[in-house]
Amino acid sequence: MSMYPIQSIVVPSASSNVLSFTNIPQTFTHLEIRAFYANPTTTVQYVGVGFNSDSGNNYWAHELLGNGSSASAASYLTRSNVFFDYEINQGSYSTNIFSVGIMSILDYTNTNKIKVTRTICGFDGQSAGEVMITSGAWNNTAAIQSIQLNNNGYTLSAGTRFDLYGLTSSNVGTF
Amino acid sequence: MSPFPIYPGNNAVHGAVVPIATYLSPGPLFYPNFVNIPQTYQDLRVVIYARTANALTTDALGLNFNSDYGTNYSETYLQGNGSSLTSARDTSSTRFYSINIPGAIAPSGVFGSITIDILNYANTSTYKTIIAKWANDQNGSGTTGLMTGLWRSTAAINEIDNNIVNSNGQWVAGSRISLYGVRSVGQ
Repeated sequence: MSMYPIQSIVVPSASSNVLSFTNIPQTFTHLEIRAFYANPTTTVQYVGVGFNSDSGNNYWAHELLGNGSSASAASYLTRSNVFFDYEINQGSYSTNIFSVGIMSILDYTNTNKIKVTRTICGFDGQSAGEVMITSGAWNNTAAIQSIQLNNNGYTLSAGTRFDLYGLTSSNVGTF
Repeated sequence: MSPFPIYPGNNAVHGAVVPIATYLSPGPLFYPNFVNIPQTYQDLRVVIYARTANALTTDALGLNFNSDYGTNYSETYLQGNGSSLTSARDTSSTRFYSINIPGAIAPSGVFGSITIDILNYANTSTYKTIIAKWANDQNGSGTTGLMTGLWRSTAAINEIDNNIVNSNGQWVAGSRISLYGVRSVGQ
């Protein structure tokens, strides 16, 4: 398996805009998004991620998280995105600190499967931290042609960036 | 003394994930540190498949950047041991130390699997946040977990020190520690 960069998005100044990876090549086997993200407010937020401009309640998610003192699990039904969670609130910490996350989107061009994501993400702000693994699903079998980041419209800090990668697999035939 | 790392010849043939250096020794391995890390990638990834020689069932990786051994590290982790799930953290440590690896009392032949992602490592205006996952499976015992860590420095990372937390430990023969660069568009 090899990985190739496809597109990058960098946020030059604080913005609540929806950011999009568009015209995603349909030639890879899997996708990966590597995220470096924060918000300038005093409230922890999350980065909502949608596919093919679908902002309907066609997504669901599960999470397993640790906050430094306890571990917990949760599920979220009929929501409008999957997510990179625990977007650090720089207003309560430092503008030097960002959250990080890696989202895997497997078999994104397959038109027979609902699309399932797997994400690890978190931050450590010295005085507090969160780390989690999540699963998410887009209840749609369409090939993913575009990805909308921050489709929940929270403010992203300057310096936030998202990098999209395509992963190839070897051509060994079918089974 | 560390064996000399193996540097690949031609990075141009690779995709986004470019091998930078690897330690793989037929004998005990001390202080396998990556130095003079190129500043030309977007992210770094460290991949470890290793075991320590300390007389412990489970040992721990000690991770430092740029030879900084001050209390500038904090971390939060989530860990399962087969029967319970826990989360803990540290606010001011001299290194990242929550990542588990098998020690000398672990079942024979068992090595631990670790992946550490260091995003935006060459940025000089932000602190450095890492995220790591590990597998330390010992046939009914052991741990698996996730951690995120903060190094409170805006310096670009040009050195990664892969130490062992307990005593003056060494990595056993066959341990492999690899460093990769992750290119973004245009790099």
